[in-house]
Amino acid sequence: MLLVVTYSSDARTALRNACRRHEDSVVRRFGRAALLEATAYGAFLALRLRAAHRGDVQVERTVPFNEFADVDASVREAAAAYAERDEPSTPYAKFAAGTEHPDPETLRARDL
Amino acid sequence: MEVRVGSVEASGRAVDLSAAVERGEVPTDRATLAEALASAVEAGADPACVGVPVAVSASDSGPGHAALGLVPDGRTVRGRLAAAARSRGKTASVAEELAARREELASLPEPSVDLQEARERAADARGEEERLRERVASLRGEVNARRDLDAATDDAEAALREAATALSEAETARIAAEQALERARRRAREARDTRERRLELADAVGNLARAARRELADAVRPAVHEALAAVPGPDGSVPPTGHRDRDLSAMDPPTVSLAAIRVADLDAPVVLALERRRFADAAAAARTLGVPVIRL
Repeated sequence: MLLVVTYSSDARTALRNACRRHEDSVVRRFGRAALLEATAYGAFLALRLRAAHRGDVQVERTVPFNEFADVDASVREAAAAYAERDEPSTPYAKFAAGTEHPDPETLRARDL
Repeated sequence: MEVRVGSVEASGRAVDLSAAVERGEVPTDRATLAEALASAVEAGADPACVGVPVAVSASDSGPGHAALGLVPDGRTVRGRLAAAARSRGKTASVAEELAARREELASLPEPSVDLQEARERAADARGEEERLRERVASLRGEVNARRDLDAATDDAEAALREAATALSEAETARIAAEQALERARRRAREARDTRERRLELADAVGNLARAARRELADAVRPAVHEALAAVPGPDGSVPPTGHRDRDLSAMDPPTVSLAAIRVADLDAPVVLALERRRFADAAAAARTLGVPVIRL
């Protein structure tokens, strides 16, 4: 999908209007951002906004996230274990220390 | 004040141009002329041009004048009332905060986030690499086929070597272009932080300005209600119909504007392009409103 983020009130208004007029191409709308369908029409809408509002419109392409393909089991297991921790106030770094779960620095250094 | 529109000249506290407009001595339409005169008042004695030279020399416009200097125009009742309050020296409680936010907004740069060139280069480099990769594959196929046929392979091998060299160069160029794009993206992220801050500030300024207008308008609302009884409605009747209405925004907007002007403390002239029946002449308007008047 295409993620369109706006950085000025004019651009935000233009995005809102475009989304209202082209509901078919809008997957989801947030305050000053929207996800558009990954079609040439979605791209056309995004580019039209950027042509009019330049640096106040950011367009990114998103890819679906599949935790079974994009990360290995250790990350999934760490997330599940941390979500079920006994002590809610324990930070993850402390939780992972001394276990087989990866520490936060290791996770940060690993690209998807 | 002195007013000059083309060859028409007039002076005094009340200037009536309605007859000149009616007789067509002023080669422009009434609304355009009214706007030109109002902006000439606002800009001081600088002549504005609307096909004819327009100049007004009068007292400098003080606070609030910009929002009261022309009737009718598209301003809201609240904006008019707030301007009347400002002209009387009132300031909103949020004025200081508003000024600080405005200043901060003005001081923030609008850093560029233009990545188009970097994106285009990366895409071109990728395309070129792909094209050369296909060429190398097809030349390799040709060399192999010739070998199978025991045909001469010298030329084909030379072409393959050349293409392989070009491919490796294209690969290097593609990696460089991608890295450049990545660096530009990182820079853009910081630039967008600044733009995000600008948007937050702009929203805050908008909210504060609205709050200030509301507060200032509320401060003069009772006085404007009272003044309504003394100004003419569209048909010239004083007090105007509905002047006891509690809701000013439901009333005829120019009538409310006149009441706001009567309440305001203005030195510079106001431009009135209203129904002619409202006032007998400019002098009557100036008396009722307590300000210098240019009537069209």
